[in-house]
Amino acid sequence: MSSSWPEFSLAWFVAASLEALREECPEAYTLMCAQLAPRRARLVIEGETVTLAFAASEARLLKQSRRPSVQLTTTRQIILNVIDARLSLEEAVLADAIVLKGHLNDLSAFHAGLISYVRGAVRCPSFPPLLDRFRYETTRRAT
Amino acid sequence: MDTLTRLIASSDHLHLPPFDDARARRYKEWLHFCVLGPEVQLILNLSLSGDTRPVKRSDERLARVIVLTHDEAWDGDVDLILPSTVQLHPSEIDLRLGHNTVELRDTAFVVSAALQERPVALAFKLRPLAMPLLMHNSMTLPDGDMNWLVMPRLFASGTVTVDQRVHILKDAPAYHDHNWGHWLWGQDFAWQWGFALPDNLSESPWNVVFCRATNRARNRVTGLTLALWKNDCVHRVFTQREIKVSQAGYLRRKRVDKYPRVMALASPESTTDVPRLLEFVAASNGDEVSCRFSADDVAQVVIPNETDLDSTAVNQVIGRFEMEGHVGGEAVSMKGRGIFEFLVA
Repeated sequence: MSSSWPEFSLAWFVAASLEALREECPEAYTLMCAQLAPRRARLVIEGETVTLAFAASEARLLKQSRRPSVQLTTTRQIILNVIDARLSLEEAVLADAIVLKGHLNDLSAFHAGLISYVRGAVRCPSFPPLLDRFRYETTRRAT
Repeated sequence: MDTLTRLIASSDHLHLPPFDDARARRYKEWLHFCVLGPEVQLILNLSLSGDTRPVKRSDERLARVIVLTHDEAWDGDVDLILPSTVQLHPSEIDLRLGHNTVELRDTAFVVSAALQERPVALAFKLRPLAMPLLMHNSMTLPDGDMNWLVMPRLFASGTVTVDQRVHILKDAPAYHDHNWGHWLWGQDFAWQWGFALPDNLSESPWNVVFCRATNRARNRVTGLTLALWKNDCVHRVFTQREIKVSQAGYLRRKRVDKYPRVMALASPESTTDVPRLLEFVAASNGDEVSCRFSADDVAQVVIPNETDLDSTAVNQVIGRFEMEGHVGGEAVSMKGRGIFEFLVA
């Protein structure tokens, strides 16, 4: 792998993917933001934590973690298992492989926003290389 | 080169629009092959299309390869091919999408494909046995066109490898078609389309192709065709009001495999409205045939719409087929299998 790549972190990946979504499929980005505003979502993945704040037409990473409306806790491998359909999102949640915390209406909005994110991602030319990087880092860490 | 091969060579070539054609963004074209082996069934689709994504990297066409196999279960994928690895000759049947190839060599299609992320590979020779049928504007599309060349009867010999399972096929029944035109996924159209072949081609001269085009809500039929081949020739074509279609029940599956797999996240529904039984009766001028397709299993190719953020599911359904009737005073009878597509919003 190229040494010119930026150092991988969850925050880098989330920021890069949101930027790609905003640039390459603005319809999905705007819909996702509208569905999630005015909430905060915290992602906790293998010790890395990212908190996102959603406004009506913007998503941004918070430098300091603040109390979220929704918290998602899982592992990188579970994320890949869901992306590759080895596990459905529903199965992952029911098996506590993905742990979601929040009020029902916030969780419902988070699900809608997540689906909009994915529907945009499949239309963005930048996502396949981002996903390749995610896979590479997941495999590298596992070995 | 025999007459059939010459006819195929002159009609089955690519129809690439110039890049400066106003319709080039909506251009789509594919070569589609299906093989019905006794233990494995196979769908291979090599496609080219304009790039309608909101942001695209260049004016290059998108190339994709779809391989679906069905033996113990479904496997397969949809591979996006690097534009730099696409080689094609517009006036010939010679298409190379990465390491995946189709060419017409002597009297047979020679095809080879291997998926990038799944342990699925195939190499086949497909020898056409029947005259093709060409249908221009085979489907009513809003501000577009779709053309369809059907080659419904081929012998397929070769190998399909799925994981550790190697299937060697000799003279298995196979189907090929070629679609091209200009449209957007998500526009107001849908189809039920399928073909059926006898289990043993040497024991029955009959095969059929069926197509029912509708609007997206599927409450208005825009085209209906049932074509019947006997041996190497189109024997009878029924259209429109000559055909009555009915269906019963729904094919139930605990889980529906979707391709590419990530689309299971974007379009997670595990139910389909694929009929368990599709029946169509065609009658005209004293001829009549009754057909029955019983669905056995389904997988979905899920295509992101180009008109909105939703998607279009193309249900690929494998099933058993029976046909009885009479045409021109001759009895028609065939039992076999087929693959039907049910395209839904």
